[in-house]
Amino acid sequence: MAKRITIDPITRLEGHGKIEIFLDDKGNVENAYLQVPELRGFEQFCIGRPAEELARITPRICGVCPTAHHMASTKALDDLFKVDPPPAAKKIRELFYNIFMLEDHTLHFYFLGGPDFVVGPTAPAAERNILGVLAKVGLEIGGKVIKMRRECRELMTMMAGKVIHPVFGLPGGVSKGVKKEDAEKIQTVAKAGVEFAQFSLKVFEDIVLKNKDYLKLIVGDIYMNKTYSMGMVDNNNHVNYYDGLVRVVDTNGKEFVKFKPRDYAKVVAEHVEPWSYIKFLYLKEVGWKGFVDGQESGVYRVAPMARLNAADGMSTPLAQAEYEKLFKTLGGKPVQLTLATHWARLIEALNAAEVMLKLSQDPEITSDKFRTIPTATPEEGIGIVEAPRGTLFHHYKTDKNGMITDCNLIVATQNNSAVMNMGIQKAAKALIKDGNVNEGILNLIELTYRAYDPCHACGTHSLPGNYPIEVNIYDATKTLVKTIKK
Amino acid sequence: MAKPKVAFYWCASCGGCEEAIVDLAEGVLKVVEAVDIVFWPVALDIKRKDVEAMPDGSIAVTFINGAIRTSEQEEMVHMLRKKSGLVVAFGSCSHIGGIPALANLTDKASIFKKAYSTTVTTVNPEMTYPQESFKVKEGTLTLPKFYDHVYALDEVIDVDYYLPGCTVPTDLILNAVTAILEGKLPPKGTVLSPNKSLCETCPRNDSKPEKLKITKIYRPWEIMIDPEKCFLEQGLICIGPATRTGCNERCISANMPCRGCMGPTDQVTDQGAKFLSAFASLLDVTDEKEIQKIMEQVADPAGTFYRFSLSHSILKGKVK
Amino acid sequence: MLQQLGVEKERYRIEWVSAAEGDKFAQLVNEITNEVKKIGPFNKEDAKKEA
Repeated sequence: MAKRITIDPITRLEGHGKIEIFLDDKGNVENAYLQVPELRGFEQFCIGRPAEELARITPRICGVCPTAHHMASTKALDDLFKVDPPPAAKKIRELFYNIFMLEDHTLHFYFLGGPDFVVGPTAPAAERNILGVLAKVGLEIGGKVIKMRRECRELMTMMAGKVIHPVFGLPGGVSKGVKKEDAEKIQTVAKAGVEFAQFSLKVFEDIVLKNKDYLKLIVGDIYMNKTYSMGMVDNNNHVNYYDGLVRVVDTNGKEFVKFKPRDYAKVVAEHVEPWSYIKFLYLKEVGWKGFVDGQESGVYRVAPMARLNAADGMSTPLAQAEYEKLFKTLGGKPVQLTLATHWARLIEALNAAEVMLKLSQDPEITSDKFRTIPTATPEEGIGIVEAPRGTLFHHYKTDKNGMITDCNLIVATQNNSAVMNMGIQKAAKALIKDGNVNEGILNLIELTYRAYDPCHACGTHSLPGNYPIEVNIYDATKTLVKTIKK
Repeated sequence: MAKPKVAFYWCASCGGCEEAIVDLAEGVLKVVEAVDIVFWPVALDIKRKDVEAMPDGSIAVTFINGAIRTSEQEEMVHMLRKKSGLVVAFGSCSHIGGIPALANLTDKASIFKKAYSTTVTTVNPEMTYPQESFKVKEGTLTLPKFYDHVYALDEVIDVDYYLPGCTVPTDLILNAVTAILEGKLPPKGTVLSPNKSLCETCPRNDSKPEKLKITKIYRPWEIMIDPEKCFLEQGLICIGPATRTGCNERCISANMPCRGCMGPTDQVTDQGAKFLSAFASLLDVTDEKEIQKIMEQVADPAGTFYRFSLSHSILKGKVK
Repeated sequence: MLQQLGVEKERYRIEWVSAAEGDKFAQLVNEITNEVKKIGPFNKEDAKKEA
């Protein structure tokens, strides 16, 4: 008797999505699909717009990581107008960007992905939310989390006008500089940020790593996929979110390719499926072999764990020590364990806080030379940054007047869309046997996509503790056989 | 007494309006104590079926953000309208169309062709496009229909109030929620932000000359932008004259001109046309050739004057 | 801007007419009315139907 399970909508993420699971006659999983039911069409409606306006239009792709789009766009504009911003401008942009990385990563850990860990993936659904996290870590810490987020966002507002949809990026620099008193404010928050990131890592160690059951989940086979890993690195092959070359390592951790932004189209390609509006990225040279693991499959991953895999280390000392500890604990590079990305995310948060401190103390950050006026005729520009959720590509072509004639946007989570499907298939196949489905099992399946930090985080409000998902199980005659409600 | 029930939903949106609510920071805790949030897909695991099961009118207020782009979004807002006492259009997209409504200058066929065929990195020689219904080996998978037009919320359902902005400024949200909880709401249909243009509250207003005379238009990247002077005076397009205030001039404080996300004031039907007429009156030219020359310096008038407001404009986009 | 919005050139004009030029005005209005009639109405299909 064929059966079908629908999870609709999937929750605690940015965007819409549903999961369809098909069972065979024996009640084992035949296949699972993660469908994205939305599309807006930025690549088409950006055509005809003035190029510099794209730095203000593309952030509307995502209100959680608008900064990533704003920065990728601004860098694409530098390339487009063939203008090199003055050093102070680059530092200001990088400082702004690291404040954002710190804020976004710690928010995700405590409010979105964290509950699955801090409270536990098989804990009662009613506890698996921020309230459960607060119960575990205490209200004092909870207050610190809210304060950290608010202070980071106030700094971003101060620097770029708006924290949701910043506006200060221009080809050749930024529209506003950093005053001395602003730099001092940033330093204060940065110091607190370093401490807070370290504390969060301690929380992860105490509550997650020292718990045998959680550790089993992390290192187990269910949440493991063998893929290539991609991330941006600086000249020392250290993780960098703002600028550098993009490096890909293979399933054994060996460097497969390191490319300049200009060459991205030679390396990555997008595959279309008729059952989802999202496209699936893969390595061109390896080829699209379907939703399969392995060295011969072009599927690759991005975001924290993949970035740490693709790099040789972190650019700051405290984060570097944590980097080494992670790989030592999990058996060396590359780490292909999906849930380990939660740990990698906190290491990146620490790194971002350290960079934030360093740059805010740099005397050049308050320079008034933060713009160079472009003089060349625009033609084509590519800008790449590491969004919290992965590598983000903006590619613009314009006419002589800088009006957009073509636009290609590869948005971070897209790089992971193939492996998210594969992860859900694998988890569903491993966990649903002989037609046995219950809410605990559904939770464990949803763990897969949530690890990839699908864009949104909920906030400081209280969740009602209800986890009302309904699963309808139909037999081959489409008769309702069983309903499981949470 | 039972706490009033509140719901949040998103249509063709970026999630920024959800973040705006989270940005109430400590302020949101007070709100949360006073209400019972019964539906918020981004944050809570409550399902569509549960909302369908709620009695009509049982949700006191539903805040809906995002424009209407697909059939699923339209179905959801119709359903929420039935279940809610009040519906508030939250943010530019649901208010006036927002950035997604720029797609009204193009069409569905072009969007699909670009996304699934002609973008630089897309490899799709078979011309596979997402389908509303598709048979896989195991069964049939469905996707919502992608409309050929982007609608503001009030083009699809009856809307009680509007919270403008991209995204909505924090104090406007707090004021609105307080007003709802205290039952002190203005007449139905009110846009919950002062009915004045941005120029009236702009910090650069004082330095504006008595009469603005524009002789040349620049693109923002072409000149060093004076952080004190009115943008229009510097020859930079700023939609302030045709835009409602209430945002605390966030973009202006970053030394970038306004792009009109708060929508127009009450007296204005069509924000883009309003700006065009205001702008034209500032030009210091009388010779027809000179007028032509200046207007050619204005890059992308439709996409700039109507950056956020196409769904509420008279033509609503490119006429077919 | 009107071009971007798909409004054809034939649908609008700028002309200078004084209050004393009644004949000229009548002629212009008839001319443009006929031109617009020739093009016909905007083709506003139902965007929710099959595109």
